[in-house]
Amino acid sequence: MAGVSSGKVVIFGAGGPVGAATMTALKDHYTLRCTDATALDRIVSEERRQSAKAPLPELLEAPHERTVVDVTDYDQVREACDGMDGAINLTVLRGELDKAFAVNTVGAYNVAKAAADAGVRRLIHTGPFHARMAHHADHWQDHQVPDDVPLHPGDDLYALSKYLGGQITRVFAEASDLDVLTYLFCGFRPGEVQPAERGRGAGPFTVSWEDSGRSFLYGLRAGDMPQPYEVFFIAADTPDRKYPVDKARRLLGWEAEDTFEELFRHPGH
Amino acid sequence: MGAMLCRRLATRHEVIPIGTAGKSDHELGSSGAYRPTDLNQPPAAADGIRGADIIVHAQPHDPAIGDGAAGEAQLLERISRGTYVLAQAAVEAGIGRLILISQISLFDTVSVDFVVTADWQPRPAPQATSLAPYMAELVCREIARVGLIEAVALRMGELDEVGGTSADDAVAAVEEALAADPASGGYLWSQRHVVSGGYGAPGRD
Repeated sequence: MAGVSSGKVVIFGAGGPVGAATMTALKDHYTLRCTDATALDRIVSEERRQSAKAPLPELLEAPHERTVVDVTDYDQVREACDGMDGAINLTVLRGELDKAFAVNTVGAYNVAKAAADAGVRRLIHTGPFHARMAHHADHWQDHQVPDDVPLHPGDDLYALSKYLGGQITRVFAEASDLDVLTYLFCGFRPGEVQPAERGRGAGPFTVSWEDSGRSFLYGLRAGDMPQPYEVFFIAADTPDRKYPVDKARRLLGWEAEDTFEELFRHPGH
Repeated sequence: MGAMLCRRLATRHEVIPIGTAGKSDHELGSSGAYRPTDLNQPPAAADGIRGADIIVHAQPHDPAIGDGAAGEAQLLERISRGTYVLAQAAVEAGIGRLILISQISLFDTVSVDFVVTADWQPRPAPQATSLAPYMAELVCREIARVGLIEAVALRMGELDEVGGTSADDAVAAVEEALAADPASGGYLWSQRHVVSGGYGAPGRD
């Protein structure tokens, strides 16, 4: 199934920083239905930033839409998918048992089911790649770890509940006509490197907020995928060679513009 | 399945039956007192398994589902979160082994031409009832993988139905899992098929 080069796209979890960056990257190319469990107006008016330098969402005017959608409620999700060509699921709840499985696992089920039912042509699901889980089954000691490496979430609530959501989404992709890309993220930071940061390094799986948003434009537009469910690392290609970000370059044509090279070189070189 | 296992295992073991219902509607034989337990809540799960040495988690085999989309959501959350909370409570309590009763129907979509073994990747359908036991397996597998508990999934068919799993075979498989040497195969996670008839037979692998 070909990609989505124009039309309507619904974003679930648009109120977070990746949602904000995604809206900025997509707003001139698609008509967006931006949804979040909290009204975007409230997120902006109360300046609910995830961290000090994380972006806030723009309050886009018509023809774009913004609405409140709770992904744990299938009927709301199904209605939000109506008439959409593409869907992006950025929802996440990290540390609360009472909501983690509801949002990360059941929410993924609701989004995949609704997208398949509504005839959405491409769904981009998202989740974490925990580079360092502090157990013996993670991939922290490895290098050249590929995008398709099986995740080992251990007993971490956030990692495990999102992992289940990813597996549910895979099942929908393999059993229906739903075309799914799953983006894995780890660390985020602003694209601009401050002089005082030079030479200080960065996590081995980091992407700028700006590049994270742009990756969705490439993902929506990309042509047919080899498999109905494809997983991509979304990170800058850092010189430590732990995570080669090769698949996104090959299949989506995306690579990070912010490479943070100054962070990995001695200041003055 | 859970009630049958309670009745039969209680003839040789001290069995503590727990479940989400306020009271059990099933005959539990010589099992101990039934403990109504909300597995979604860590304190309740800890209370429910108090005194146990091994856990047999049969709920994912035949969980009840409510109506409509809300019923699907409740089922998925109850099984995924409930299994997570149960396994965490077991780890906290120092319980070394969890026996999960899963569903052989995870392979219903595979052509009957194939000789399916327990090492194959499950192929659940994109429906909550099919995904729920798979979620339970994944939760147990990932927690076992990092060394916190030993877990085995026994994938069974419908109890005493044609193509399903007989009560005798189900009990024998659980007894075997109860008595097995911990991690005798070198892993803390394993899965077995326990089917008495139909294309999945004979028995186990």
